[in-house]
Amino acid sequence: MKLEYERDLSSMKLVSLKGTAQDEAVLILAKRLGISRQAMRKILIEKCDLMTIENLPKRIIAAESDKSDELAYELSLPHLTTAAGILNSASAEKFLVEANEKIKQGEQKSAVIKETINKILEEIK
Amino acid sequence: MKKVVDVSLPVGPIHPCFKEPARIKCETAGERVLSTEVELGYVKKGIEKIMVGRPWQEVIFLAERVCGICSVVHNTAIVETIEKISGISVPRRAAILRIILNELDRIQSHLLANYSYCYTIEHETLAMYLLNLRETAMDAIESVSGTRVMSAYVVPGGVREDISDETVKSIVSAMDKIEKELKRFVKMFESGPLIALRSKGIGVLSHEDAAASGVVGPTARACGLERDARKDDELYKELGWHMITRTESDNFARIMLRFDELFQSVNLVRNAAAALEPGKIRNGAVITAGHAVHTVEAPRGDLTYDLELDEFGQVVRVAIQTPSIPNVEVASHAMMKNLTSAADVTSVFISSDPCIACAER
Repeated sequence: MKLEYERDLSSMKLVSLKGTAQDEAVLILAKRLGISRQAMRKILIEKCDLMTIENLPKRIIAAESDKSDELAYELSLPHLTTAAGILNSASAEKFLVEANEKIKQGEQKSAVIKETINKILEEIK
Repeated sequence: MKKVVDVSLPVGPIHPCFKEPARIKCETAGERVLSTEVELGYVKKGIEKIMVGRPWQEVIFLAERVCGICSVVHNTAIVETIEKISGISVPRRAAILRIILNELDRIQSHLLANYSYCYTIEHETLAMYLLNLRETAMDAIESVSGTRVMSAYVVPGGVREDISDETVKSIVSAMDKIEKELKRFVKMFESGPLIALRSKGIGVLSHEDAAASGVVGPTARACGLERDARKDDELYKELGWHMITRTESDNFARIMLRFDELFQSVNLVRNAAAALEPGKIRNGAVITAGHAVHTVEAPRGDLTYDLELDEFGQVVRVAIQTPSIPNVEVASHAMMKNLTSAADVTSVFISSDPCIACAER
């Protein structure tokens, strides 16, 4: 939400992201999406509010344990939707269905995952 | 004619109900709160970064400065992490003294939290009763450690000083007083019709939101999650600790759960005092290099220290995960979402017992 008197919290968010546990959480997300730490920080600063960033380590731990859907886990959907909240559930569902269909049609799973993650990145950037 | 307008409503950073500065940005449609954001950054201390490169002797004092309300538990957590790294054992008497001080700390913290809630919902009489009762717990803390806050009582290998039999007796009589008074205040809270209007069914936290956010402490236990670091502690079990949970998940449940835990802490202090036997209060300790992650149950929930020391006992890296971080986060994103009245924003926020000093460690 935009308020007339709103402070720019980017620098404060960066301070939070540099915290030891937060930095580890950022690295987990960056590794999963195949991007740099800086790029991941930029996405999080733009898309998340301050408290989500502060609580990112706990949320990532919860997402790491959510392996109910193997493909969703490999696409990092629990990490991006429930944990960080940078991808909405409808889009996540769309990506998951598309990836599932491609795998059923005989495409290689690793290639499908890579391609879908690139699409996800385009959406969240 | 009555008109419904959409307003972005800021609450804080300076607000009579808040003990520390925080701003809640509420997006409202008429009286309904659609979403909220909590904005911090007014009192960021950067203690994690200050600790790096400093020796453990300095760091144990710095840890206490994270939070003035629960300084005892920060002291306990960092010292126990150092003991875990170096394989240091603690004599039984010292372990029991640590429990006594930590439970006294829990008592004063829970009383302060419930005072804040009662003050927020404008029940100032009960609030002042609770704040007055907190002084009894603070006096007991002072009789054990010598100060009300930041006592540096817990040291590697044991505790700083022993307590006399007279002090033990005075602590037990303080517990009797707290229990007797508390029963009356709990009845006031439980049966107050206006309190129920402001508390029952307000700020409900769903099980799914609780699980996804990693919420801890009384906020988690009030929605049925059995999360308490004390459950793995044999000495706590020996002294009669048991898990307390509720299922309503609303403001009322969170406050009542703290009241229930207050009675349990009173009993734990009594049992610990009875279990005190003569003996030494400190073992020798040599600090070694290593890495450990240790969690203790702070009054607000799991407090985790992730600490790495080098061969000189200096901090290489440290991460302090305070319970207020997930609790404030879940309060802003789940508990205050879709509130029917903007007037409930502050009471829901305070019911999660937010400690801004801890969150801005």
